[in-house]
Amino acid sequence: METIIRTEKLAKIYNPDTSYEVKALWDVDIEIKKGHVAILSGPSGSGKTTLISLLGAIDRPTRGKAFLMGEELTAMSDVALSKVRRETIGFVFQSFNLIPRLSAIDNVAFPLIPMGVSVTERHRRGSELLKRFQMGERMRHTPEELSGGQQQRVAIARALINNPQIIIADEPTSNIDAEAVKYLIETIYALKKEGRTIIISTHDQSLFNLADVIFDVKDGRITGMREFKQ
Amino acid sequence: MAISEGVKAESLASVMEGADIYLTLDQYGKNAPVPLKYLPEVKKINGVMRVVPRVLGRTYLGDSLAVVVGIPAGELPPSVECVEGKPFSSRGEAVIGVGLARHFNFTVGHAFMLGGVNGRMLKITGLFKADSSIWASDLIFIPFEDASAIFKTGDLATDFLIYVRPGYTSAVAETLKKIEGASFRIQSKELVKQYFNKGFTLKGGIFTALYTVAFALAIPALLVSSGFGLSERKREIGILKATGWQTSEVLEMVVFENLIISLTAAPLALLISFLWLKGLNGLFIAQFFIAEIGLFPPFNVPARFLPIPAFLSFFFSLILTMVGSLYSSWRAAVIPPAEAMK
Ligand SMILES: Nc1ncnc2c1ncn2[C@@H]1O[C@H](COP(=O)(O)OP(=O)(O)O)[C@@H](O)[C@H]1O
Ligand SMILES: [Mg+2]
Repeated sequence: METIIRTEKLAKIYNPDTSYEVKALWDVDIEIKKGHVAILSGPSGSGKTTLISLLGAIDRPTRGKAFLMGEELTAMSDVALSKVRRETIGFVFQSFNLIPRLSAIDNVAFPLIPMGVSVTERHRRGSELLKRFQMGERMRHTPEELSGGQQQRVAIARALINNPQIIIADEPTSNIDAEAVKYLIETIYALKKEGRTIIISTHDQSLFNLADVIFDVKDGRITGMREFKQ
Repeated sequence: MAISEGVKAESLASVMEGADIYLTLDQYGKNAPVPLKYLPEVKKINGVMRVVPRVLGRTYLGDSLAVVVGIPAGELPPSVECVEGKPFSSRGEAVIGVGLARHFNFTVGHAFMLGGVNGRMLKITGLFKADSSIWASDLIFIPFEDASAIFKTGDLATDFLIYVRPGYTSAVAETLKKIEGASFRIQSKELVKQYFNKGFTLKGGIFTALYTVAFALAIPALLVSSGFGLSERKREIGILKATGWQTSEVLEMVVFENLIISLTAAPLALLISFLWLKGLNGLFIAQFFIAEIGLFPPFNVPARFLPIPAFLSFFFSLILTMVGSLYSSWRAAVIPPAEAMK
């Protein structure tokens, strides 16, 4: 099966050469196959968010390399990285990162603005996605008027607006209730069925059944890898 | 007509006469003649020593345009000193400046016709020499009633000269303001001094410019305080970049947003400053621009809202806001989104 993401001795050091330097990630070599659900598992502070941010092209490593479909992310310009984020990756943040002053539908559709998509078309695509996630009644609500689970559905809809191949979710069960977790699992199944690659960081075992591969992260290193035949 | 002509000469005549208060009616911010019916009421005001109604006008005497001052007998200003003869005491008499007298070869006892067809025969009782200016020596002083008849002013006076007891000027001015039914223009010697000696008019202009600028600068402040906090902004830009926006696209939006906000904030800022000046008479603020006035300006602050300074200050503030927010936005946009969103 085709490799979609690969890293080589990836490392991230926060505040290097200072007294509060943190080696958040060290010599990480992983490989993720296209269409797989990959889970990064590990306790809090182990480096999951750091690693998933590097894989999602929203941060740059201190050392090492990351490849996306054979292209070296770590060698790309700012412009090229923005293009990758726009076309290939949908990121669902742990705290969702919705824009507080925008309604649900605008939060879903704003990534389309710089592409010159008209307002009507943006709203058409936004409402289509929100309806898919049973949020048709909440399109005009602002984030603070929504529950954690509902905010997450808006965040997932936004991640899907450009129809990306790769969906990345950081600790997706941490800010939602049990009911919403069930819904999330269904959603991830559905997205996998569509052929998308899904990378999830979590310390929550309830998601493990979804995984094709689980990487154990500890103290910034990969300490184990488990593959599953689905 | 004659009166309005005369009004032009008034400021010069006024300076010469040195009354404490010059009273006219206010008509759209300009001087207008005062009905004589106010005379008793003004005289009654505590502190007022003397009220002299005047009719000022210009008319031809032979081939020369002469300024005529109609004034009650016995009320010739102290600065008008007869070098020959004596002041007039009844109607049909006149006192003329030595300049005019020389020009026409007039002497005391001569009679002349003033004011054309409806004019009056006037007999010269005295010649005066004015110390101050060449101009003053072309003046003709005649009795108030004769001037009224020549200029057909009816029961109006060009102005009232009010002489007050020392220290009473502002109290008298206050009382004048309260007189029912009239909107007076009150100019006092002190104010005139303040206006001219201290370069008040110039400061008025600077005042306007600074004022508008000060308020236009409020736009960036408005921006910051209205929820466009820098850390919030940085986070939003991180989110935009994380979802695929280019740095250039972020900056483009910032420019657009700034334009919109400045365009809506500018009229607001102007409105506030206008209300502040007109409504509150520049309360608190005026003292920063005009020295020697306190918290509560005792007179109308001469603020004018001119299109040029208003536009300049808008432009200035727009540039300032634009540069400021472009720089901070650029800083937020070029770091990795993960960092900006923290
Ligand atoms: N911006 C940062 N600056 C300094 N240290 C950081 C920063 N982000 C994360 N860290 C540190 O890096 C380590 C890994 O953090 P993180 O990747 O958030 O772990 P996880 O997501 O597994 O909880 C932790 O020790 C954390 O304190
Ligand atoms: Mg984390």
